[in-house]
Amino acid sequence: MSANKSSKSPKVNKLRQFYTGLKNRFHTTHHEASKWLTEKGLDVDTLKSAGKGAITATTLAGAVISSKPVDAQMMDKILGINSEKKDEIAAQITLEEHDEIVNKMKSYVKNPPGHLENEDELYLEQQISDMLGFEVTAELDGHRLNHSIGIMGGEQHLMRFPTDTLNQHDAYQQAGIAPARGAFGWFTEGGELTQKAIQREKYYFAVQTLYLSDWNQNYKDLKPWYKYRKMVAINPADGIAAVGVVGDAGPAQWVGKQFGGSPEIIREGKIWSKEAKGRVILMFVDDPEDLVPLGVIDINDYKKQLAEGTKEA
Amino acid sequence: MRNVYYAPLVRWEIVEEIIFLVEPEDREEVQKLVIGSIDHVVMETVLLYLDKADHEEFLKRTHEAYHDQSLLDWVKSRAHGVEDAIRRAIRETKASIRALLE
Repeated sequence: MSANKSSKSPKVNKLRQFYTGLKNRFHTTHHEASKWLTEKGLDVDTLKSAGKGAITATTLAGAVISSKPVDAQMMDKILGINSEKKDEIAAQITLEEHDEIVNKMKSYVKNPPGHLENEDELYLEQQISDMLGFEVTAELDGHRLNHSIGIMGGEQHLMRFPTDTLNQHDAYQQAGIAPARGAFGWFTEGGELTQKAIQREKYYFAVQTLYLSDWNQNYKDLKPWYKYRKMVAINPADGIAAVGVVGDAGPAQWVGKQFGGSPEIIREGKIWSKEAKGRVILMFVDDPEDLVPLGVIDINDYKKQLAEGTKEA
Repeated sequence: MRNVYYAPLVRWEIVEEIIFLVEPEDREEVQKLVIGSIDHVVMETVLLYLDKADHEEFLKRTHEAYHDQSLLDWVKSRAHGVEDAIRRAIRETKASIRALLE
């Protein structure tokens, strides 16, 4: 292992000794395996970096290291997609149709919490996908929440790492911070607060995974699937969509709300405006290549684009 | 960090908490030492539970694709009770490391 040994911390030094002890123990207790590895110029540490998986990991890491931040790269990609899609959208949706879709969404969110009828849901998935320029669906990979229509409550900030504090969050500090980590763990990985981790906490949803009928039986598979799963909340009353990730479980049923939103989602998505009153549509974003950036989208912008397109025509 | 075949058996949030027990400048090294330690105890445990005749095959597979979680299925199919033993070994290792760093 090529660990940096510059630290003079006695604690780190103890850990180094502990690790060396484990290495020596392995050579003693599994002499033959150790010999097999040595003959190939390997040990337990280098096994990992010698295989094909390591090459993939290095390649992925290399792709991330660039002069541009990850989010900026993602934004470039999505802008590329949207630019390509713009002409298609203009061809597919007229201004009148856009108004009709938005009006339908306004009407749908006044329904009791739950799902739409199958036909309405398919219609809505298609229309929202066309409008936003990426695939939106109520059911993804066979997974479906108990509600796609419901009320979204405001959540607090989440601790992104064990020593995180409210004053380290750059916006909406008045929302407070939850006293423990979210249901899906810390946002950091390997002690590093990446730009991606920051964005995920900023734009997170709380969803009621705990009330899924198969959660108790299948949570080992369901939890990793839902963790940071990209979703979009549509606030039709104000014409705003907010793309975020699943970052926590909740709210509890007795709260009477079906979804939760981070302070950024609630404020920037105007989820609790006088008109919206928390009523949203929440669906999955089918984005296997992670191209859709997190943040809010002004649906009215599309209306403006359509209006301009109509004028030109 | 999570690119290991036994990843589903680790509570990574605890690993993250351990890394945050030290100063920021030490975290990179501590992460490597923690994962290196877990790698060793998992390797020990798997070899202990696997039949000796399967050892070489297992080492070849880890060499080929240490990240591949189907390797864990392969191990489980050949060594009864290994999953719990790995979990236990990881848990004990994390507890020992935590005690050193707290």
